[in-house]
Amino acid sequence: MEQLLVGITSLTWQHLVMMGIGGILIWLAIAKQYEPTLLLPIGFGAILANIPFSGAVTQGAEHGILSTLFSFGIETDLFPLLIFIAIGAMIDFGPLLSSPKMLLFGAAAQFGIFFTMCLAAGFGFSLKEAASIGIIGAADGPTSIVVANKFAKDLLPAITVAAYSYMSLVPIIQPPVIKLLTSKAERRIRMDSASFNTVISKRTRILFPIVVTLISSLVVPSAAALIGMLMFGNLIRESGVVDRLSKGAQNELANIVTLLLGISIASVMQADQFLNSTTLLIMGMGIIAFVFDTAGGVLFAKTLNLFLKHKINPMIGACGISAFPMSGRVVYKMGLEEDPTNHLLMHAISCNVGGQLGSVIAGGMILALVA
Amino acid sequence: MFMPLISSATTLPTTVPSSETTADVMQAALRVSGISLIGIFAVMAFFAIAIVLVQKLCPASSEEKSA
Repeated sequence: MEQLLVGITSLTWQHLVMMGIGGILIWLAIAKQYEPTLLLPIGFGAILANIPFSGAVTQGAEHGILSTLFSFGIETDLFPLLIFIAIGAMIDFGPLLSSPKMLLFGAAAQFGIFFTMCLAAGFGFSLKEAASIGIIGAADGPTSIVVANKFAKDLLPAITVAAYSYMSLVPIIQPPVIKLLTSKAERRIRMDSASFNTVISKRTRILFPIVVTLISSLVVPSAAALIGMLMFGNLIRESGVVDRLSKGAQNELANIVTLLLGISIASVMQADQFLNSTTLLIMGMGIIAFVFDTAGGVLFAKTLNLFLKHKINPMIGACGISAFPMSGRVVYKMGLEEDPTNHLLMHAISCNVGGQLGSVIAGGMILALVA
Repeated sequence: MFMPLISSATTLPTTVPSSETTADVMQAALRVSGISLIGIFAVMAFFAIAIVLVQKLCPASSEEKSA
C-alpha cells in the first residue's frame, strides 16, 4: 500500500507550483491561443516531469522518454535545426527581395539581445550565460536553444520558455512600446508600395538562399548550420522541382519536430532545476530584450527619416524582430487602426522576414565571439 | 583591403580572465555587443547589395512578368 501512495506522499509545494505553471501554459495555449503548438506540449510536459518519481523523466538508471528525447533532439541541436528547414520552406522571401533595404531593420531590431546581454552581465552572470540570456531577444526559439545549449545548459529551460512565451506575447508587448516612441502623425505615414509590384525572377529566388548561405557562412562560419538549414528549406521551396519535399517540410516535418521539441524541453522543467530566483530574473530580462528590440527597430527608422525624402513609417522598424509573422501582423493592424486606408502589410512582412535572417546572424555572431 | 579591418576586429579580446569580476564580464559583453551589432549591419548590407546585383543579373523574363 505504501508503494502506491509514494507519489502522493512525496509531492512538495514546488511540484505543485510547477504543475500550476504547466496548467497556465496549457490555458494560454487553449484559451488565448498563444503559440499553442509549443505551449501546449511544454505545459503538459511540465506536469508530467513534476510528478514525483515520474517514469517520464530519467530517474537514476531508469530512462524516461522525455529525458531521452531531450538528449537526442535538444542536446544535439537536431530538433531546432530541423525546425529551421521547415521554417525556410514556409517563408516566401519575395517581399524582402522586392525591398532589400528592409534587411537593415532586421539588424537594428536585434539591439535588445545585446542590451540584455550587458544587463545580465551586470547582474553577475558569466559572459556565456549573459549571451544565452540575451539571445532570448532574437525572438527565435531555435536560435535561442542552439546558443543556450552551447553556452548555458542549466539555463536552457528558462531561456526556452521565456523565448517562446514572449514570442507568443508579441501582440501585447510591442504596441505600447511602439506607441510610446512614435507620434500619431508618424504612425500614419504612408509608404510607397511600387517596389512590391516588381516581378522577382525564378533564378533570383533560387540564387537567394545559396548566396545568403555563402555570404553568412563565410563571414560567420558558426552560423552555417543555422542559416544553412533555413536556406536549404527555402531552396526546396523555390526550386519548384521537389514540391513533395517542400510540402513535407512545411507540414509533416514541422508538425512532428514541433511536437517533440515542446515536450522534450519540458523534461528539464523539473522543480529543483527550474524553480529559483534565476529563472525569475531570466524571465524578467527576456521581456526587456523584446522591449529593446522593438525600440531599436523603431528608433532606427526614426533616425533614417531624418535623412530620407520618402519617409518610413517607424512602426515598420518594430517588425525587424524575428517573431514571424506575429510582429508583421501586429504592425499591419496598428497601421489600419491609425488609418484604415493605410496598408503596410507588405512592408511589415518584408521587414519581418529580414528579422528572421538578422536573428540567425546575431546567434552566429554570439557563437563566434563568445569564447 | 578588408584584411586590416577584419584582423583588428578578430583580435579584439572577447574572452574574460578566469578570475572574472562583474566589471570584466560587462566590459567583455559590451565589446561583443559592439562588434556583433556592427557585424550584423555589415552582413545585412552585404545581403541587400547581393540581392540588388542578382536581380540586375537575372531580371524576370517576359513570360514571368506576364504570368
